[in-house]
Amino acid sequence: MRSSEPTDLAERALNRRKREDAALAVPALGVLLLVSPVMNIFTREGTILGLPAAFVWVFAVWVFLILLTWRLTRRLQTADDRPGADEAGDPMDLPDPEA
Amino acid sequence: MLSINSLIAVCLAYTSVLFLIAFMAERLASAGRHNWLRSPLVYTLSLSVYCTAWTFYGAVGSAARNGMEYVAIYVGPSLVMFGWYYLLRKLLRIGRTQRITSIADLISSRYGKSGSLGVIVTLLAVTGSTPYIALQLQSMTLSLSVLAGTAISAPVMGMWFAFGLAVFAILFGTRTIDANEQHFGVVSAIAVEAVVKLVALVCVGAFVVWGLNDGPAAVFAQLPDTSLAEPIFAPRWVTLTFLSATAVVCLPRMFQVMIVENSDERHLATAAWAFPVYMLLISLFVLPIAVTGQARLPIGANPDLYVLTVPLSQGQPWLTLLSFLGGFSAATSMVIVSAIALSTMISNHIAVPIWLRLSRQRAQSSGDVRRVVLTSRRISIALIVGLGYLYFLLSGGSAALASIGLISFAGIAQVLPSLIGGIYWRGANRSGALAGICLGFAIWGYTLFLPSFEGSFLLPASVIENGAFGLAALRPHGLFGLESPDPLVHSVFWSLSLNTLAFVSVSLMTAPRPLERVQGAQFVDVFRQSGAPVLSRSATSEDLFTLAQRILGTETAHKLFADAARIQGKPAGLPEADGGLIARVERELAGSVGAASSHAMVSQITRGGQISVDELLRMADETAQIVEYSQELERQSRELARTAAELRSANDRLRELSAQKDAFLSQVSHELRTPMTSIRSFAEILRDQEGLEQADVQRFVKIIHEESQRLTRLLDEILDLSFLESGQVRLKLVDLTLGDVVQSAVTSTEGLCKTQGVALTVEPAHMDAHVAADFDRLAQVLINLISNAVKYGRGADPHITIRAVVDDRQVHVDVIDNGPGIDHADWSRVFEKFSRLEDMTLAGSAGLGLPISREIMRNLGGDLVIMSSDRGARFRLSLLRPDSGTVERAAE
Repeated sequence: MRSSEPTDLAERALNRRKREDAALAVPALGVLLLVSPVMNIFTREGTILGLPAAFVWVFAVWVFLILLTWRLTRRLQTADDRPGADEAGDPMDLPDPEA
Repeated sequence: MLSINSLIAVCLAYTSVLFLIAFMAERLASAGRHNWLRSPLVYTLSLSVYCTAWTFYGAVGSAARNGMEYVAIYVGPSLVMFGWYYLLRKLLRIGRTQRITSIADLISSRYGKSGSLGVIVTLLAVTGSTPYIALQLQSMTLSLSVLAGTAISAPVMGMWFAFGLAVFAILFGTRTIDANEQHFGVVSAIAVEAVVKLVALVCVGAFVVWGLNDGPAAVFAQLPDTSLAEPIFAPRWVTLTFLSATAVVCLPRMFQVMIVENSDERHLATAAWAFPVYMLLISLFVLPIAVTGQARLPIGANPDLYVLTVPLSQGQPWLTLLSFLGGFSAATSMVIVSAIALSTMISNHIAVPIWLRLSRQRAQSSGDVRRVVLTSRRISIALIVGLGYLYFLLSGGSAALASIGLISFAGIAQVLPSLIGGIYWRGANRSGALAGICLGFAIWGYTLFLPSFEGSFLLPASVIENGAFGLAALRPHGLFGLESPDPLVHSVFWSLSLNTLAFVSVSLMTAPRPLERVQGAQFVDVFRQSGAPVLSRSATSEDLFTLAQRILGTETAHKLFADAARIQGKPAGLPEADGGLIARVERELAGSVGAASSHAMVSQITRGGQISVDELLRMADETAQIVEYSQELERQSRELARTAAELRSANDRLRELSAQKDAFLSQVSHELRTPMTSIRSFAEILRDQEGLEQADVQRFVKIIHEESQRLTRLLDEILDLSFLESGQVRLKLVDLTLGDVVQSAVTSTEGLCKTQGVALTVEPAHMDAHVAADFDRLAQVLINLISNAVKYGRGADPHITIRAVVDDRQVHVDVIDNGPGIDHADWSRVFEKFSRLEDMTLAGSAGLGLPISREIMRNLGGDLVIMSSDRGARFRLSLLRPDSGTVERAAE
């Protein structure tokens, strides 16, 4: 994954910004799918493979969100761990005064 | 049926293992080998303290009663974890930089290290948590009695459980008073318990799904058609999700494991997906167990105990035992962590401030604060568990306990507006937080907490039914006539909305104190700070060291001060007690006794803590700095613009002057050329032509002489003018009789007038007036005017009149001719150097007469102007009278 990081600093900053925005988009998507009337569309009566639709919907969305977050945190962490990430002047990640 | 003795033996053995694990972990940590203890896995597992006995047993009961509703309790926290990058990461960073010890400490520290806020949040947390602890005790005794019958009465069992848990919490929660308030032993034990919980529930679930039934489809085939028909999304679903999402941040025990016990920020990134996985696994089998329990157990069976009774009824003693241990783990971990978190809050926000107040005099000299803190924590733990036990005894396992989990969530959620506002909104202040939390607390108590006792505690049943004072608008379950079928939804709506409203509006209406602004800036901009602002306080290093030693212990304090000295570049001895060191000591102490207490302690030994508001604001408020800076820039740029305008006008003036000078020079050279040319040509004639007549030679030499005289005169005039203009000439004003000067001038020009045939008349009126002037210069001006009039004022019968006019301030002398006069348009040009009115130009004049005359008159304090007249030109001299005070009397 590290090798796929672009060498251009501007592009790297842009990618990082995108990942940060995505980190906000995942819980927003979660709210939309699990805590909004959208739920009732997919959780009407009925079964999927013998399981209640509501049960399948909630757990499927949950797993999906976990996978999204898992992928995203790995990429965010890769950027965090990158040597010299602080020196690159990342606005979100100034050096920790306590560190 | 498992025997009570074997169950107690299992409990004791299990607890011993936990003690051993905690003990080993502490040993490893103190040996510095806590790499394994500090792994993201342990961190994630420790978060599972969220899943208590209430969720372990109660979730199945909830699923049996309300279908999918129980999932909301796990979905909410999952959503918070998915948004870790924005909320939890910030909280973690704040917790670390500010050495936050509890949720009460966070609120107190954010709002100016306020002691009162710390106390209120502590009370709120204790109020909400005590019934919850009672619930854990109840679930333990209940599960034990289900398995072993009622051989031992519930109160006795509860007492033993409470006693054991308190001992564990005291042993591992208050062993030391660590600078980071981290408990490796407890966290390790909690992590192990988390695994036991998960394994137990998954095993029971797997047994139910694949052991008792033929896979999931078969399980759900037993489901009555109506049970999942209700749409999931409803006010209650939203409320539950919201409350559980809030709880995962605000509950004291969650804050303890997630923020305080965290040792590495990066662990959060793992927990962000791993903890939702844990919760998903925990909740996956809840519904199948509930469905199976409903299908296979008799109607009267308690759904809350299906996790135990389903395997028990199917003849699976080992599985039942495992399930029992899972529930036991869930209950114990919750009680232990809650007790530790609450005891920290009580000791830091209630006990230590009281102790500080009581021992104000001897605070600086005697006593080990650490002992006070540790003792107060031990007492607090005993007190909290004791309170929980008391509650358990009094409520007697009533059904009211079942809903206490959500009630507790709703109570601690009152902290949320102040918490979120505190870390994202600079404008949030202490008064707003106090107003919001108190109002929310009160509404929660009135509409949810007190009614949950069903009239047996504080709030009588009649009030619950009819409202306070019989007012229907004040009914606890229908405030302002807003009826809701669900008291929880109703209470959460009113308490949180009014809480937020009070918080925001009071914050907007009141001004924060300086320390609140400092803390606000540090919290909101925690990712942007290069360093904490430093208050300028003074203290002696010895006092600081003594204080640090009493709280952190000799070794830690020594290390801290040695490090500070090294940073300051001092090889040995105590570091300088500058503002930075004081701030650092205060922060380190805050990690042990909380921000408010630490601030109070350090303030006791510092002097000059009273710093000007301006100074504080300047340091604290980045925005203010930027505004100040930009205002400064604006001011400077305005100044620059003004200066530039001035420069531009000065430049224009200079350019104009330069052009005038050029014009003047070219005029001068032109004027000088004419006499020079004639001098040169006559000189050449004299040199080159031989045999000239003597008379011619005489004539030429005379011309040369005259021309050079003219040249000299011209140069004299130029010099004179430049002197006059530059103000280098100081004319001496003396008291003169006007007539004398006029007579002198007339005499001088008499010859000229005669040769030109001009009649000159001096009117005698006012000629005896006294004026303040320089005799020679005034005469010069008059002569100039007369000769000008002679030269240019040629009429048919040339005539010049000199007349004096007197008013109360000045004496005027008019020189009037009867010539063609001067066009009004040319009036100003007449006074320009070298300007001669074209058609009247006469050779022989350099055209400097009038400018010089005017300069002389101005130097005399008067003026020379052209007046309009019926015919001819009329020049008017104005002169000062000698009595106007500017005159030195002629010394005679």
